[in-house]
Amino acid sequence: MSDCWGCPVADEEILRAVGAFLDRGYPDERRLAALRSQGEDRRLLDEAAAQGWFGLVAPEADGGLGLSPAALVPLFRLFGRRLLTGPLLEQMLLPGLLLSTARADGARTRLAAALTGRRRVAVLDPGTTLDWRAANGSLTLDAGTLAGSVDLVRFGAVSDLFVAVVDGGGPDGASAVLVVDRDRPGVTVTGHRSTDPGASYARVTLDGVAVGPGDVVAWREDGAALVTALRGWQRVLVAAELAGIARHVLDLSVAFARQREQFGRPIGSFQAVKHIAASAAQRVIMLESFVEAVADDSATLAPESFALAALALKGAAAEAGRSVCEDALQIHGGIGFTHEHELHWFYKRALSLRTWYGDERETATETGRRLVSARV
Amino acid sequence: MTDTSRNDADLDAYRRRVRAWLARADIPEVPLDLEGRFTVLREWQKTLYEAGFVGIAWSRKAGGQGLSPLHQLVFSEELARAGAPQPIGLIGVDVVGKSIETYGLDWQREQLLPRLLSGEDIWCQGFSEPESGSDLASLRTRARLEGDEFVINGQKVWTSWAHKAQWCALLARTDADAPKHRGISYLLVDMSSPGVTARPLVQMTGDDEFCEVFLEDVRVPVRNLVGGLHEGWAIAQDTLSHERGSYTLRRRVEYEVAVEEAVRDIRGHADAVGTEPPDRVLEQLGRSYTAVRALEALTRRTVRRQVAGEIPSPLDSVDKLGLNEVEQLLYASVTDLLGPFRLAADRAPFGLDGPRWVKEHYYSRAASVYGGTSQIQKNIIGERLLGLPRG
Ligand SMILES: Cc1cc2nc3c(=O)[nH]c(=O)nc-3n(C[C@H](O)[C@H](O)[C@H](O)COP(=O)(O)OP(=O)(O)OC[C@H]3O[C@@H](n4cnc5c(N)ncnc54)[C@H](O)[C@@H]3O)c2cc1C
Repeated sequence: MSDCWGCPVADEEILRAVGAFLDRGYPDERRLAALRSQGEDRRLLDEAAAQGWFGLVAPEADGGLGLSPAALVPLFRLFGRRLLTGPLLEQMLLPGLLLSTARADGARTRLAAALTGRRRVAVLDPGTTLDWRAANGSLTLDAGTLAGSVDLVRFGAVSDLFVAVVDGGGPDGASAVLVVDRDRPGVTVTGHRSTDPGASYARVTLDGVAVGPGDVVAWREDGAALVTALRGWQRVLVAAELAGIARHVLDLSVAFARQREQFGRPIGSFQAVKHIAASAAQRVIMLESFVEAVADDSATLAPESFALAALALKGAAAEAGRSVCEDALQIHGGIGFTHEHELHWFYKRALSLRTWYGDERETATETGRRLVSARV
Repeated sequence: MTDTSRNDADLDAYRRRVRAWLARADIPEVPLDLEGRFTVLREWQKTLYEAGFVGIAWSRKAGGQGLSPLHQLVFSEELARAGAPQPIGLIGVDVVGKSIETYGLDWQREQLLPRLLSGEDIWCQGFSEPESGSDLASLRTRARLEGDEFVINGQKVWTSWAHKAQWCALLARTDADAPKHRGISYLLVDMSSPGVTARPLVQMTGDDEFCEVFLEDVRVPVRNLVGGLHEGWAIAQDTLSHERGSYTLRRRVEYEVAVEEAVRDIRGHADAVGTEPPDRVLEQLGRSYTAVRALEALTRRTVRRQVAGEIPSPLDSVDKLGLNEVEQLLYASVTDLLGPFRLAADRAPFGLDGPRWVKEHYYSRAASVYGGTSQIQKNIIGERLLGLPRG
């Protein structure tokens, strides 16, 4: 089935162009090299910037295409299938989304530099986890001073522009989104060792960093709305990536089950194997439909409803992403457990994305909380 | 819920019309007992039919409205949103009737289907037999051609609503020598014919909703044959496709209503006691909501397939498997929240209506059995969708 059912023609062309680039210029060796260095492939960023990937959702006034982030959904499904890693969420979504809101020139100039790949963005959001949030730090903003820390900052160590999410930590509980240069006094970045083959992580501490109006992207109601949108879209795109991963490992498993013989016949003819594959296929199709539906609805849903849809989708993706990979491992037998086969990379990547912005249990609890408190 | 009407003025207008009608309609209270439920919902079906809301996507010749499956979906959604029940004759409307509309003779379509839609005639589906469940094609009920009549002998089982039905869509073997899929015919049997006996069986829920049906020298005119002689298997596949796809569409609307009810009750209770429910409650609720939402997304593809005429398809089995997993997850998750208070029907833990959830939970166990068990759906998905070799 097409990755882009019902997409506007422009979106489909973009998908084709990106697919063609990957076929042509992104061979397995390059992918493996990136996976061995936590998603670092400087050349890919240059190529992506040159092809305009980073400007897809940026406003036209900033030289972007002004597309909805929903246009990124088919691309992230493709990235999942091809296991393309790197700061794609950070470069393709964040600058564009923030530029649509940012007013201050200082913030705008720096975000615009990310569109050409001259600056690398990372987001300091304590809300990338729900149940472990207390351990992930927090940020406060008081009298022009940004303070606090965030423990899990994706690509924090290799980025030079931080998007700081102050979630209710401003005066009177206000929310804000700011941009902070890495070389500002008071900013400390400490890298973590990570199990994610597709991204590096760092702790970023802001020790009384002075900020001014030129650093503010959004503030108070606008700030809260931007935090909601930023989390919602990251959840949707991570879910899309997981859907792509799940699809690929399912396809691998089906091909393997048709060709691998034991007891004189293909293992796919054994019902015990067939049923694992069939059940996985059902979950993959359901996840793909869910991703499409939320992308379709994003244009019409009220912000809180979109956030709820994104939360539910992320939970579904977390669960299906992991379980389909585990089914694939089982179908592959011993070979799936080795570095000889690519499966383990997909699995490790799925496990990483599974937790990012909430696994199926965290998102379920939060979904239930929002439903009961009628915040939707 | 889906906003299927997005960007479509025609569907928008239809949705408004449905809403306006439902706002004025006398929506019935549904009694808990089977008899009462049957009577009230049959009357309700008649009301809906007269207003043009049963068989929305059916041809006008068959008593329908000639609109699209999207209109049907809009109606089902609005019906649920208004808190109104579904009509009773769903085996006719959603399952066997559609196959008669596609494969039937003119007289069958024109004379039988309007009565099916209005609920005047209730239909049942006589497929399963004591010795032929999953292996449906092994069925043994025989129909012998004698002049211009078939003479039927055999037994059916698990036939839902057979004791209430006027008509039965029955599979019978007409050629015992042919390979098993090639000797079956699809016959329409008048349930008042001499020799038909329906004996109700009580289900786990306590309702006697399905029956054993005995057929002894039952005479059926040749003109009651649907499609060609010995060619009933393909039509049976079409019927099963409706049972898997269209039925999933309708059921998922009911799950949405169920989740909304759970949310409302738990919220009401939380407000009354002044504390947020424990995380376990929130998690189970969120899980159920997520599952139902995912099913809703899946059924958008079902509608597109229906509009494009891409049925039957192995994707029907994906729908059915989705239905059974979501239904079982939903009702088990919410029923679990009753904890030990499921044992005391008068208590309402977290504001939940215990007896209602317990009954629905029992019923959900059938979802992985009827319409082809979950294992059979997986065989179909494995072989026909994924192309894995047969065992
Ligand atoms: C509530 C309800 C309503 C129903 N309504 C109707 C109706 O209106 N009309 C009608 O005709 N029928 C109806 N049925 C019958 C239903 O279609 C059958 O129960 C179903 O097809 C299974 O057949 P069986 O009960 O004989 O189980 P069996 O086929 O004996 O199956 C028993 C177990 O064996 C497994 N099994 C069997 N074959 C295989 C295989 N090849 N591979 C793997 N596992 C296998 C099954 O999955 C199941 O777990 C209804 C059933 C229920 C529960």
